[in-house]
Amino acid sequence: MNRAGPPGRAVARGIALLLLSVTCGAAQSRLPTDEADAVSQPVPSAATASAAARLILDRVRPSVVQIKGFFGTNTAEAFHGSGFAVTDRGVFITNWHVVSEVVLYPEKYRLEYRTAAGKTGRVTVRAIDVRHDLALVDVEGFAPPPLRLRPHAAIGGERAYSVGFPLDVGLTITEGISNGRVEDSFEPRVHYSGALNAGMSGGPGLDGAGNVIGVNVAGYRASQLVSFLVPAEHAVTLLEGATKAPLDVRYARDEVARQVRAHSDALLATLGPKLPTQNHHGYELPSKPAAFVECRAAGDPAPDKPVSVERVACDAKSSIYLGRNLQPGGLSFQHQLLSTRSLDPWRFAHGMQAAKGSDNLFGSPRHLAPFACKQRNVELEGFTANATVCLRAYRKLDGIYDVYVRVVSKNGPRQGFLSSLIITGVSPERGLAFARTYLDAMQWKP
Amino acid sequence: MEAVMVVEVLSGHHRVRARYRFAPVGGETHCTVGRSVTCDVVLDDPFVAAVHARINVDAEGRVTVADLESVNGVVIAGQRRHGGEPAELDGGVVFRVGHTRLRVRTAREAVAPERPDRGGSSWRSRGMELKVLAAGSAISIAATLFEVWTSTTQPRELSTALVTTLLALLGLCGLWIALWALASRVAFGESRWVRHAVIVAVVYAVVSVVTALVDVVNGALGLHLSSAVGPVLVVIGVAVALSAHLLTASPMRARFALGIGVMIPFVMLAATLWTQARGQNRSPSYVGDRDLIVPPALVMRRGESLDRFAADLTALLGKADANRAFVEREDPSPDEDESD
Repeated sequence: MNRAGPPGRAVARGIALLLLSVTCGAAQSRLPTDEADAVSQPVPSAATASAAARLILDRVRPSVVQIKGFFGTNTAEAFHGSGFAVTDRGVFITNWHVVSEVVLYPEKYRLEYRTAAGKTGRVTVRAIDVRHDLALVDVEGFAPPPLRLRPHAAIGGERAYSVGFPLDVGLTITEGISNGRVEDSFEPRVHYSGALNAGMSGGPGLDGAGNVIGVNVAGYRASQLVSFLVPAEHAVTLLEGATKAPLDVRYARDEVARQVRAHSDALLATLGPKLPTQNHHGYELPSKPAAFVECRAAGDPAPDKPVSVERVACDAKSSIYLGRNLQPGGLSFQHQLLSTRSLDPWRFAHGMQAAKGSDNLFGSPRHLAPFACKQRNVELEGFTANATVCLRAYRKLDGIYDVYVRVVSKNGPRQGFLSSLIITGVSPERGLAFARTYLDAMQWKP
Repeated sequence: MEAVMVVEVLSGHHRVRARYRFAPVGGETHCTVGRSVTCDVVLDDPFVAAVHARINVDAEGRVTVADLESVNGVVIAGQRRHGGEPAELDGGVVFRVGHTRLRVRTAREAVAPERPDRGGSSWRSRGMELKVLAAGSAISIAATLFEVWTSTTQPRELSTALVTTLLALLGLCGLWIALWALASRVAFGESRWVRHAVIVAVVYAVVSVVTALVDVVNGALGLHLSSAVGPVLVVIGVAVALSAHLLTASPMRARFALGIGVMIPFVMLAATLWTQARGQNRSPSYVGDRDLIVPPALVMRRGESLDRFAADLTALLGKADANRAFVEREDPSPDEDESD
């Protein structure tokens, strides 16, 4: 997965990003002079754009704060992000992932804010929206004028800006283009073609008039200027639904688990009771079930391999960031199609057996309990397969589970498949029902 | 019957170090044992008294030992005797005076028949053993070659894999046999190469054939055997082999050899399985596999219906919750995994 972790996260990751950006910055800093010699036309428009950025930065400067997290009584920060005012009574919006450690481990972490002018104070979490990666926080002793939220969809192609505190270098504005809603995403996102760096999480994404079109949320680490904003309408919904009292930390984990479960159950409901399939060497196997699910297929082109293998891997890219090594809400499946011309059935079966163990199932023992599994030979539509279905609980989050399914065909003397599915952070009923849906979709149709 | 007596001083491996012969005097034969030069059998053992014991053979050939008020007494069949009545010894029994083992032989003992000498070679006398060795080795090598052939799918890698595996197998078995032969030589003065080789070949052959059969039957019938079955079969084989080697290479009693031969491998197996289970019971990424994929022609039992399988899945919830309760109790704060 090349999706970057949300910006402004753990210290180690921040340092890695910081190093990367420092190196890239040095390389890029030489570019403008070379380009300025070669390309002369866009100078006037660039000047206009920069003037607009300056105006917008001046306008939002009082309303944007840096939100810092501290471990225990340390005065050195553990992580930081950004946030901006949405009411005139000191209520700010930031990302859920900026405050997640404080919500999940309130006895270990605390939050503070720091304005561009240097004023500091306490921050408490008022409401969270884990699915959309938003949080509403109360800022003590600071109530600047709120930014205006523009809840209707961002338009593709319009000029956009993003403001925040990247890498602890002070309040920064970046300029880019809004590419409107991301079509292939389960949770709604605005595609912002502009720089977003670690620490800008939770800052405002703005249109040319200084209205908030979204909240900075993530970028692709390996790509250039592909960044995402949470559409402003979710900030409006969170603000409207927020109760007056701050979030009760005693029930915060239950609330997180409830929201993750709602996300995953909605995801499975979207994928429907029947999965589309594609025929591979006679086997009908689940294929891309929705536009937002990304599927890739690859094989080994070498012609002399005794067993030829094709791999199809699909990922809903729907995980929710709860913490390091804790990102439930995802769904992915993959098929390995094996076939042979030269091998006898005995050795081919052995090859299938060897391929069985190649599933790389990750799970952090801090967050997840061991799997409970059931393995049987099962009669699927037209063929016998060996099926394993497993369920594991989350250690600190009640009511959500991971479901794992592994299917190995047993009917082909010279062809077969291995398929696996993992759904994370789902209610057990929904998850196991989807495991059945997955098995139901498989057929032998030579 | 002539009451002639031979007293043998033995080494720790029961090999004769010294032999004293005594002729009868007045129908009886007797001798004294001790450190003093006045004794008939003189021992250089600091745990032996100057005049320690007296050995007697009467006219009927009965052997008795009497302790002559020594500090350490005489140890017969594990029992220490001090002074008092002379104790009777059964023919050929080894007893201890201080730290020295002694054996008394008389004319009453049965002598094993002479072994025929076949011109310096004992090949034909070992005919049966050699046949078993040949059969065991052939099966073992065939099973190993079959295993290599099964797992090497690329034809051009097959010959290398076969040769290296065979070399490794022969090297390891050769070393193993050589060590046991050395032990036999120390204990009995003869290497017993063939006997040790037979043990290795037969056990290896039986274990490879049985484990392969169990795997195939497991896959063909869908028995879902525990993954511990394979290791248990191997350990049974190791226990048999170890006991047989010990019986061949050491003078220890059969019960003792069996005890050691069975105990060592099973304790190791139990420790390994326990450690493995401990890791698996705590690992959130462990998914077991109890089935072997076999060619469709060998599959002899249909799978269960999907409805039944799905209905049984509901039981997983209780187990998953139990697993959670287990790790919360046993492993409340594990280290964070390093991988991202």
